Amino acid sequence: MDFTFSKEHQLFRQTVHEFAEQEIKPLAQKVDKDESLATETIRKLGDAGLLGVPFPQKYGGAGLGETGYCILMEEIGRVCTSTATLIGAHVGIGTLAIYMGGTEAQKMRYMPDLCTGRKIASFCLTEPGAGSDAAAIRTSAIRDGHNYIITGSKIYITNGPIASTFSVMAMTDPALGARGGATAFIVEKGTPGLSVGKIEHKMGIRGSATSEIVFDEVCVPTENVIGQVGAGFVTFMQTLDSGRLGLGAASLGGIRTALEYMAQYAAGRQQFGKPIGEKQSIQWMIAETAADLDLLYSLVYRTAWMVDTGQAYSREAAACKLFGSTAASRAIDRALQVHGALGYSRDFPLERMWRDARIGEIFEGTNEVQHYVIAEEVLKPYGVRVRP
Amino acid sequence: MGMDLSYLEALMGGGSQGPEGGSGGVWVVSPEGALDDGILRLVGKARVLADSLGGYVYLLLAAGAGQDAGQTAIRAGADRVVLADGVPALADLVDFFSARAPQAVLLPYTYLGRSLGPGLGQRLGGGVVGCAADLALDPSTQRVIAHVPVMDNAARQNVIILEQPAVVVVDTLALPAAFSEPWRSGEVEESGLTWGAAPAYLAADLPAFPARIATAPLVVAAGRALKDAGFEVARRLAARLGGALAGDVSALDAGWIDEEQLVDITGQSIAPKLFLALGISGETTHFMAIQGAGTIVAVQADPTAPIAQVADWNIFADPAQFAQALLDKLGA
Amino acid sequence: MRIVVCVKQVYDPATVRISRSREEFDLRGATRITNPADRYALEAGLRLRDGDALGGEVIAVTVGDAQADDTAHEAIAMGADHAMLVSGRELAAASGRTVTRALAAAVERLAPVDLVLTGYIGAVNGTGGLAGRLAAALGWPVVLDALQLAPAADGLEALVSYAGEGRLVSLSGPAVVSVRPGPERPRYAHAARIANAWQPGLVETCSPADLGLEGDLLIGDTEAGGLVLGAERTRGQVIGGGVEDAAGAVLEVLRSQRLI
Repeated sequence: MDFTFSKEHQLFRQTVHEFAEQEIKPLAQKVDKDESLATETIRKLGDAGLLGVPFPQKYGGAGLGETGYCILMEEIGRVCTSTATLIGAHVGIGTLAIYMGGTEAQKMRYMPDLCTGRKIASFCLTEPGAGSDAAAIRTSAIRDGHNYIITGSKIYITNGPIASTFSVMAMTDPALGARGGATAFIVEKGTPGLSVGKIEHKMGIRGSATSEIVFDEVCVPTENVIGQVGAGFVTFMQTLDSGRLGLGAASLGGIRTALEYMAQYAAGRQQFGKPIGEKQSIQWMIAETAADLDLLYSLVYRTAWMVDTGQAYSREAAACKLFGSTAASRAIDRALQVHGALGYSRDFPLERMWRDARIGEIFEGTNEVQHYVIAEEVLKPYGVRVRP
Repeated sequence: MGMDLSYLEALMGGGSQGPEGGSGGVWVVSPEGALDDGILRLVGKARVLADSLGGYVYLLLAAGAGQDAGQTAIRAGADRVVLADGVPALADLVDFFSARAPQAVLLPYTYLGRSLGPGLGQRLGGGVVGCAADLALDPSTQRVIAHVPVMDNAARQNVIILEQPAVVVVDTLALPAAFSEPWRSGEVEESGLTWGAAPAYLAADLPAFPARIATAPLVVAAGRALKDAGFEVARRLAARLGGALAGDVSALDAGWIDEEQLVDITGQSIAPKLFLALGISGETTHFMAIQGAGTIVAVQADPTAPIAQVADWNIFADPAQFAQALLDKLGA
Repeated sequence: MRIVVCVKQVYDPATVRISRSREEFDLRGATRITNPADRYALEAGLRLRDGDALGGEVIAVTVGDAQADDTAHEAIAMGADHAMLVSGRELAAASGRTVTRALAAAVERLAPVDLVLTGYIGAVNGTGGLAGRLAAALGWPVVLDALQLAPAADGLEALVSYAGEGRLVSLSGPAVVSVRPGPERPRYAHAARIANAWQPGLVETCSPADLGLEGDLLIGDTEAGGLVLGAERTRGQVIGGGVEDAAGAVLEVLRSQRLI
């Protein structure tokens, strides 16, 4: 069993690490304070080919697979969760929905601009009445000749204010329910009736733009149906399955940083005449964080390998998200405690990381939903029905 | 009984093996014709090497340097000074030294020295060291050993030069001081060589380098004790020194610097060659961010401030006054 | 234009320690990277090629042991069209003369070459002599400390930092130019180029013998020895006297460290 990354992935990690240190990290506090990510940063990400990492080169992607994508998310997640969230929503679900469900013509048409960052993607599923219960969406798409008229609204949409390409799930046939009655559409910015609604002011990932997206009789041609009519639910669930692995990788980055800060401070901070790292209580916190780090690292990259080798990965990806989000929150919380009042200060990045990490247990499928996904996989062969 | 005293004659600078013979010995080349402190130090070092090798020290002074310069060089340790006109190209130096058989050729670490030295060594088939801070001689093998600065001058490595001539480009700043011994004598020879004029060039503006604190070798950091007026002096000092301006958290709060200039583990950790902290009392997080700095100079009034333990050099004084004094000494 | 860029694999200085007790480098755990200064040279070459209306070619050449293969591929990932690796066990930590000969032979093998670019110094223990040596071995002029290169009427124009002043130097034939880091960072290797950098046919590997270098030609001109360390760092020292004296002392420190 050879656990070495390929040469390509090693060089990629080195490159992204440098990029993150030089281009993203110095701006992280400012991004949080200003509640926005500079367009300059997005352009730099695009220029370095970092906005289409997992996708095949023929669509404008880098062709580095899921492993490459996880490396990217880990290295960016190390320094700025807001940036990782932008990438996660753009690559991991927004563009992925088109890649997983779209026709060849749709992929060739939309993906190149998205992979280069000329356009940003957004994944529009959640509604006021449909969060975990994604099947309960009410946004409708009514056939009218050669078009569909989409009416409704979506909330908590990451990249909403900055996206140009929206992957939207709407009900084409409510009578059939979500499986069979929901269809995925590509809607482009500038289409009359499409607007950005209320901007969300969040506890964390404040640099990530989140908003309501309103569809007021938005008219899109039938060519904009991603894949088949009625296949929307399946496409979106598959997309989320895969996207959540990237979040696990971003959590991995967060734990890595928390551990570095803890170790550094434990060595540098002296109280009672000794570095606090010589105190057992601090050592225990560091050990537990390191163990969590090693666990998540193995899980994330094994799952990425499973994706890249065409194996089923739904349960493992859910485990990455479930374990990763809670482990990251724990690690950052411990790091904050190690730093004492300094950790609580807004002048220090841990306070931001603490706020940023909390969303991990909520978005892209709450941790409760992840439990269902895993339980379903385990119990399926035993004939037990698992329904949320 | 005939004792062979030729070695004595050689040492006393006379006889058939005298420096006019022009063979062997340690040559110092000043391609710009400068006879500054650097070249004189280099001549002094050549003297030390030549004494151990049992040879002569020659100085090749280009660009029409005069007899007076020659005499100064003699007093600094040269046995013979060869004057030439014009600025040598590589081919000129190769011709010059191919006719002689120097044991070593030393050049200063100037643009021309760096441009000509390595190529000269390559063409003469000698051993080349492109940058040395000092030189020594291995007494058993008579080989020149160059002390090469490594790891950004954190240490020096002994590099043994296996071939002759040893051609070394020397950073003269770190050499022992030049000497001037009025009792020394020697000849200043007008070689009659006329090399070309320095190539013509157009002056141009160098691009502006944003002083990124992460990469600047010199960082001037401002802290609370400066106050607004003092910060202004610090800012001008940083500009005058060509260093990057930074600050701690109180400077950020005061609006003197922005986030990208914050030195603190909340902002950036940096490792400049020299970190000048003005008015910073120092907190753990600030130290951790400057741990990698080569030399830390802290100017603030409180001997009990945390930074006093961490700084290499402390100046317990008003930081604004110090900054002004340093600025005044630097001049325009 | 056919541009050769010399790229060297070096130890990452951030991972190299100095052992005070043994007075030598402590390379345990040290990793290897592409020489940072060489990336600026590669960037300069790529810009020249990209700006060349007649099209151009950038060929990275590296000399080293088998591990130096990574550096050749990294150069491709950054944008070089192809690379040549002169490889042999004897070439790890080879002397300046050996490296110069190997590079000169490689350039001759790659003829015709219009320009050779090098970084200004090697990390850890470089001395910056390569450009001059290589130029002399090839019989070409050398230009040091170029910050920018641009095409000109009958060749190239280099903006050189001549002892802190800017000068424009014209080049009308093949030359060796050493590149000094400018204000802009070298480009990041594009993710897609990284994915493709290990495809077959991009890196040509040859041994010194393939280039006609064997036996005596590989004997080095220098030998690296032990380290001489300065005094241990002492913290907490005080510079006394008034601000005037202190300012004078700091000025001396600045001068001795060549910071002004």
